[in-house]
Parts: sequence; C-alpha cells; structure tokens
Amino acid sequence: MSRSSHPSAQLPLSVPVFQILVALADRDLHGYAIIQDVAARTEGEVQLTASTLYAAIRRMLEAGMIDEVDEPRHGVDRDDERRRYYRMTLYGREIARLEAARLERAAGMARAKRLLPKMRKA
Amino acid sequence: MPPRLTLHVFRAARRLLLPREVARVHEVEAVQTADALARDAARRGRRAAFAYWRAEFLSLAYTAVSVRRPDPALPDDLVSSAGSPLMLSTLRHDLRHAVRLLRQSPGFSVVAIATLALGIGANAAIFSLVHGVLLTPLPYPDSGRLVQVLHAAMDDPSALANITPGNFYDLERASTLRPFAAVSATTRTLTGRGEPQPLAGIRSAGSILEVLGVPPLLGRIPTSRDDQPGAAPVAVISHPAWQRLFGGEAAAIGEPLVLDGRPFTVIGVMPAGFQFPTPDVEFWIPAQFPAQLRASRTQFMLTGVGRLADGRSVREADAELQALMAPLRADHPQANSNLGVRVQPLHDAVVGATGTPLWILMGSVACVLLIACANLANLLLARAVHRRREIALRQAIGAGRGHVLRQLLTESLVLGLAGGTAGLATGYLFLVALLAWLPADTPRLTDVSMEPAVLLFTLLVALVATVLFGLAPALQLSRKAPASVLKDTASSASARSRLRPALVIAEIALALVLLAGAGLLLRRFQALQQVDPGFSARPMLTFRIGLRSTRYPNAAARLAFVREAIERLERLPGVVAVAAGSNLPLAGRGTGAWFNRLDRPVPPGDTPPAVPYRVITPEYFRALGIPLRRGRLLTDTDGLDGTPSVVISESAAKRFWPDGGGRDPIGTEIYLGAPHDRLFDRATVVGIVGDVKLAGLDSGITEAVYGTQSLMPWWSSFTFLVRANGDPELLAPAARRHLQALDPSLPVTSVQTMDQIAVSSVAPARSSMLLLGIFAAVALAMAAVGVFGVLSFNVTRRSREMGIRMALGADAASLRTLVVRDGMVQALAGIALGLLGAFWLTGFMSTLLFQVPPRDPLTFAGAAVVLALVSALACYLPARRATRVDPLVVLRLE
Repeated sequence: MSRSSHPSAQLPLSVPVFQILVALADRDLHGYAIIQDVAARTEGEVQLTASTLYAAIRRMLEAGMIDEVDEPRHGVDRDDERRRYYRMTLYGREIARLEAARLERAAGMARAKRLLPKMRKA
Repeated sequence: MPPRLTLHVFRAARRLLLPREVARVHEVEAVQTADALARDAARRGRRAAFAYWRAEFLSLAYTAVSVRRPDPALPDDLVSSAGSPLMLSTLRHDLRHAVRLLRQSPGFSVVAIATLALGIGANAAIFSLVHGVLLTPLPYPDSGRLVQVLHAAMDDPSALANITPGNFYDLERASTLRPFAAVSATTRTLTGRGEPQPLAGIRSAGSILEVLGVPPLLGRIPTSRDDQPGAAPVAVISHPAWQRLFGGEAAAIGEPLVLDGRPFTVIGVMPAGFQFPTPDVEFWIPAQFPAQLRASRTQFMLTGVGRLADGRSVREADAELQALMAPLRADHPQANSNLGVRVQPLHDAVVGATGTPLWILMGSVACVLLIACANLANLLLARAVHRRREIALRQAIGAGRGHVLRQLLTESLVLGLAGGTAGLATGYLFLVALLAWLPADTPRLTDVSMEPAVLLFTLLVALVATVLFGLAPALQLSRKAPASVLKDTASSASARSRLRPALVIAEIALALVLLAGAGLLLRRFQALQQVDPGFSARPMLTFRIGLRSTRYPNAAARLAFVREAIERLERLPGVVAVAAGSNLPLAGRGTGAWFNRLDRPVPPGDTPPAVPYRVITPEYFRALGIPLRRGRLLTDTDGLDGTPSVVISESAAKRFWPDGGGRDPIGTEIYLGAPHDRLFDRATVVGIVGDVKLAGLDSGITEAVYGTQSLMPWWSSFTFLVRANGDPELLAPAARRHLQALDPSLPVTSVQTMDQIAVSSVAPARSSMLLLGIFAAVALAMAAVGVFGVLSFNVTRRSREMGIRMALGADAASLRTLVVRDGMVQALAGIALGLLGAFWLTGFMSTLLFQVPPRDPLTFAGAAVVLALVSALACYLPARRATRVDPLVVLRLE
C-alpha cells in the first residue's frame, strides 16, 4: 500500500482495516481503545488481537491512511503518556468513505434481490 | 501459566518471529495492549483467558508469515528492508522436502514420533494431575488465606481431634480469624420432592459460606445470626440440587426443603461449580445446636475453617488460638486437659496424603521423558551420521551451509511438531483414562484438566529435543569440507562418539530406578493382600439405612424396625446370617467415646482415653465371622432393660487391662462417654472377641467396644449385613423389596458386597502400583529399544571389520560374543549406576510403603535381573545380524 496510489486502488479493505478506520472516524484513539471500540460496535463479532491490530496499523501508517499522534491527551481520561494515539488522515477518510459506499451498494443489491428486508421509511 | 510469564513469552515470540524493525516499532504498545486484553479475558474465567492467548499467538504466527509476503505494490527495495532471509517460498519448499524425507524412512520416523509421544504424553497427563490436585489453589476467593483448625494433643501435636461445640464458640472470639466457622458432615433424607432420597450436607456452627466467600447465585447465605438456637431453620442448596429438585426456577427461594421430616426454608442457591468440601455435598445449614450441645466440651464433632484477617499469618492465628485454649483447659479440666489447637492452611488439609504418591509419579514420568529424549538423541545422531554423505554431496554441488542447516532445522521442527502433537493426543487420552480410573474419593479430582501450561510445555520439550539433538550433530558434520567426507570410506572418526554409549548407560540406570520403585509398590500391595482383616469377608451384601425421619421418633420404633427387617431378610433364600451394625470393618475408625472403668476411675484432671465403639445386633459377630476369644457373645437381653453388657476387642482388653494390672476384663463394669454425659450408665464386659481392622488393611486401629442396639437405642443409622451362599448381589433386589414393604419412604443406600469394600480399601495402593508399573514397563521397553538401536548401529558401522575377521577365520560365535559383550558392558554399567540411584531415591518412598523396607534387596535384585535379561535379548539380535555378514560382499562394497 503506498500513499501515491488513488484511494480506490486500496479497495476492498480487509475487515480489521475498515473497522479501525471507522473507530477513528470521530476521534483519535490508542490501540487498546480501538480494540474495545470495534468489539463494542460489532457486538463481539470482530475481536482484534494485539498482533492483528498492530500489523494493520503498521500497514495503514505506511499507506498513509492514519497518522501517529504523540501529544498526551488533556482532560477526559488520565491516560498513560506512553500510549500512542492514532488519527485518521484525509486520505484515510476518503478510503473509508469509498469502502462504506461500496458496502452500501452491495447491501442494496442484496436488498433488491430480497436477500435483505427493505429499509423502512423513518 | 502465570500471566506475567505469558506476557514475556509473547514479547519474546514477537521478537523471534517478526522481522527486527517490525517487531521493535510497536513492541511496547503491542505488549501493553495484549496485557490489557489478557486481563479482560482473565476476568471472564480461565477458559476465556486461554482462548484469548491462543487467538493472540495464532494471529502473531499469521502476521509473521504475511509480513514477509512480497507486496506487489511495493518496490523491491522495500521488500528487502522489511523482509528477512526466511522467504515464504523457500519455507514451503523446505517443509515439503522434510516431510518427504521422513516419509521415506518410516521406521525411523515412527520410532522417533512414538518415543516422543510416549514420553511427552505421560508427562502431560501426570503433570495435569499434579497441577490440578496439588498446585492449583482451592476454588474460593483468596483461598490462600483459608485455614483449618483442629484440636491437637499438647504432648503429641500430630494427634489431632475434632473441635467440640463449647470450645468452638469460645475460640470464635479470635481476632486473627474473621470469619470463623466449624462444620460437620450430615446425611438427611429428603422427602416431599419426588422419591425419598438421601442428601449429603454440611452443618455449620458460625457460617461456613461466609468464610469461603463465594457469593450465592440466588438469594443469600446464612450468617452467624442464623446459627442461634430458635432461629428459623434455613438452608442453602447446591446448583445441581437446585436443578434437580426445583427445576432451576428462581422461585425455589422461600420454598421448603424437608430433611428428616423437618422443613428448612431455602434461602440461597450456590453457583454452578461450587463445592465444599466435596462435590457430593448438596446443602449447607446452620448448626443451630440446642443449648446443651452448644455448650458441650465432650462431643468432638466439628472441623474448624476460618479466614485469616487482613495482614495476619497462619502462625499468628495458631498462637492466638493456643493462647485462647489455656483458660479453657483451666475451666474444663477433664474435657480439655492436654488439648491444644493446630492451625494449617486449608489447601494442605484437603490434599492430605496424596502429595507424596503424586510427586513420586511426577518423578517417574520425568524419568520416562529423559529416557525418551536419550533415545531420540541416539536416533537423530545415528541418522545424522548416516546422512553425512548426502549432506556432503549437497554442499559439493553448491548448497550453501546456511541452506543445508536451514533444511535440517526444518526437518527437526517437523519431527518435533509431529511428535509433540502425538504426545498431546496421547497425553489427553491418558489423562481421560486416569480420571476415569482413579478412586472417586481422590481429593480435587474435579479440578484436574489439561492445562494450557502443559500444552505449551510439551510442545516446547518436543521442539527443543528435536532441534537440539537433530541440529547439533548436523552442525558439526556440515563444518567439514565436503570432499573429505565423500572420500572417507571407512568408519569415520566422527561416527565414534562417546556420547551414544553414555546415553544408553543413563537410560538403563533410569529404567532400573523405575523398575525398583514399581517393584516396591508391588511388594507393598502383596503385603496388603495378605493382611488378616479379622473377619471372614465373603460372600456378604451390605447396605445402609438411616432411621431418622418422623416415622421413627423413639427407640422402640427403631428397635422394632431393625428386628422386623432382620427377620424378613433371614427368610430370603440362601441367607446364612443377617445382622446390623453402626459401622462396617475397613470403613473407618467411626465414632469413638471415652472409655471409663468403674473400678478405676480416671483422675478428675485427666482426659479418659477415647476408643471406637459399635452399636450392633447380636448376630453381628457370627455374620462377620469374628472369633470369640473368651467369655460369651451378646444377646438381645443385654440391653438397658436386661443385663447391660458389652463385648470388647482383644487389643482393647490388652490396652485397658495391661498384664499385671489386676482384674480380668470379664465381669468388670464400664461406661462410655463423659461422667455427666454417658452413652449408657454402666455395662458389664462379658466377652472378648478377635481384633478387626477398623480403618483399612494398613491401619493399626483395632480397639473397639461393642454394645447392642438395646443398650444404645438412640443410635439411628445402620449398615445391614446379609451373609449368603452364592452371589450376594443377586439378593439385592429382593432385600430392597422387603425393606420397602416395611417402609416405602426409606432410602436404601451404599449397596455393595463386602468384597467390593475390601477391594476399594486397597484401591489407592493398587492405583499407584499399576501406574508406576506401567511407567516402569514403558521405560524398560524404551531402554531396550535404546540398547538395540545403538548396537545395531555399531554392527552396521563395523560390518567391514566383521567381514575381515570372518575372512581371517573367526567363527560366528566369537563375533556374536564380541557384539554382546560390547552391549552388556554398557548395560551392566547402567544397572550399577541405577542401583545407586534407586538406593538413594527410594528412601523418599518410605511413607508409602507398608511392611516393606524401602531398600528391599529382593526387589532391587529382581529389577536388576529383569533389566539384564532384557538388555541381553536386545544385544542378541544385532549380534546375530553381525554373523550374517558375507565377507566378500562387505569387502567388495568399500
């Protein structure tokens, strides 16, 4: 994965990579918090191990999807200063968006074929 | 495995498996995150923790592979900077080659894998057993702070006794034990929920469930307030009991539980998996002693269990309780004289005497593993020498030394993995068999399972053994210049190694130690079989009955039932005699009481000696075949409204009427119990019977006082004995029917023949003997294989020399002698070494042995002879092969 390539060239994303991007969509998190967030959101379906997480993070860093943020957090939690936080880059955000759209299209196809129930109008 | 250690292993594995930069960059975080995840998992239980680490290590392995996979999008220089020499494609190639090589030499592979499997499997199983029984803490929160409290004699601290209720309620004031309870076991008949059934339970002075600290699944646990006389009777039930009796409904709380006719309100249910003290206990009730029993200093019936207060140690608790006993001794001189206390960790009390046999077993499987490793080493060394040409050839045509080594490493790893996996499977099966086969009353058997630590350990052993023994010689061989090896026609110097004979000698020594140990246990078992139990055992049917429900409110009802039951049972076909008694021989010491001669009262400050007593029907002695030595046996009129009489055993007569002590026991009056709290007011000794082993064939307890039911009519639970011609088990259904005709609600339990009781009393001795015997046999077989292997190899190596000798006129016999002598020298050296080792090690077995000295010369000699014979056989076969050599063929081949 290299940053010079177009976002769409990175698709389709693996499950861990996509879930990490979603976790980082609205705030910066450190490794353990990412794992907790993913587990909570997917209700236990996706349980990342430390090895999988950091392997993915390494690749995402290399590809430019995320950045490391070293400054300690103020306020909310009394976090350990040694923890490194991760932040989604604009490039990463674009990739995440494209992947989400791809998944939505796929869900739409399934819905059209009645594999999924139709969406109820709110 | 302790969590810290696993974390270190994880860190090391990351460094080992991942390329250096990759491993280093996120090392701190990855380890921290893994730690946090592991703690989360550990909170959910051991199984969750194991599942987590398994997933973590697996994903680490996967990452190790995928990080090296060349990424098509990356330019080449990035690949080489991130990657390492261990490219994926070469790994696959090496693996395939290794597997093929192993398949090509099935003899070698099978023997190597089987050797590993046996050695590792035995260790995995026994270590799991030792771990579960001895090493795992008890399944209660902070169980290291739980202690057991008993009375101990001041002049003999190893003589222990239960605590009396009076003493307990005084000792409860101790500040080092918070909370503190005391328990006794009880069996009650449950009625009103289906068929009447006996339930095993615990009565607790204070609150034992508070001490143990396990929160209930439903409801609440009793507190000390529930233990006051007059409080509402309440009960807590076990999870299986809750499922079975109340269908697992939450509405069970508040429901009545009718035990022996009394209703107890269910106030709580314990969680699944909770047990105290054994898995069969189904209810816990507060003791609620009536006032007189609460103050009793003479009913030695309770076992104390307490939790150390924060910051206090066992020694402080012991000291405090000893100090509290001093005024109690002064205030109640007769009951408490010479009584102190003993406080010990509860874990030690539970595990009891199983420690020594288990460690001995652990030692013996360790020996088996060492032998297996020695054999493996020999196998691999021989193979390396055998392949030296092949290795040299490959180097000659261009394979780099690193490549060759890498391939040998892969072969060793494959062998190690195969052996390790086979070992795990063997170990698992062996453990399952062990658990099914060990006596059911072995403590903590339910805590035993295959440990993750064991799995890791076995894999580690397998890998280390194969890599070490497979790679070391290969390293040495590959260092030589290929040309010199290829040219080398004769047996090369590298093949002559001191290591191999040394390994064989070591194997044989270890095998001898195991054989000697097994032999000693065999002798012990034989000695046990020959002990005279004091009664003629068979054929006899026995079963237990408790007469405690509201149907038997008084002595008359109980007497009538027993009489009627015996009459009916006597009418069964084939029945020779029927009797009932409070306890059976071999079953245990049973209840005891203070023995008092009326003509020689014990001085007021002294405690009378305690002696086991039995409540029997007059036919008891005849039914069991206990011989009368002097005087007469008991009859129905020897009760309270006739001529109160007792019969005593020979050893009791000897103890309480020592020679020269004056009167003949016959005709003396005695009573049992405390002066103000007698079991019966007075009774005359009318007869002396032969000694019976009360507590097992290897116990020395034989003193007993026998009285009829009419003398002690308050006794309410009996074991019936039905002596018959033919198979006693056939009588069981008919006997049950007759009894149920008398009282349909009466549960009949513990139906077994006397034979079965005798067999189960020696079951522990038999189990350890058989287990050690199996290990010794395996060790013997492996040692024989080792000797055979080394000698075969030598013969092959020396075939040219043999050919020359034969060409020069040597005859077959002298060649055979040459080979055999070579082998037997090693064997005899091993036997000598083994005898020294056995001499030293079997000293540790002395607590196990019964009537057999630990350094029994007969056993040692026998083991030595067996080993020598087996070695001789193992030498003979290669020797024969040596003489089959055709000198012409051999000479031409070189």
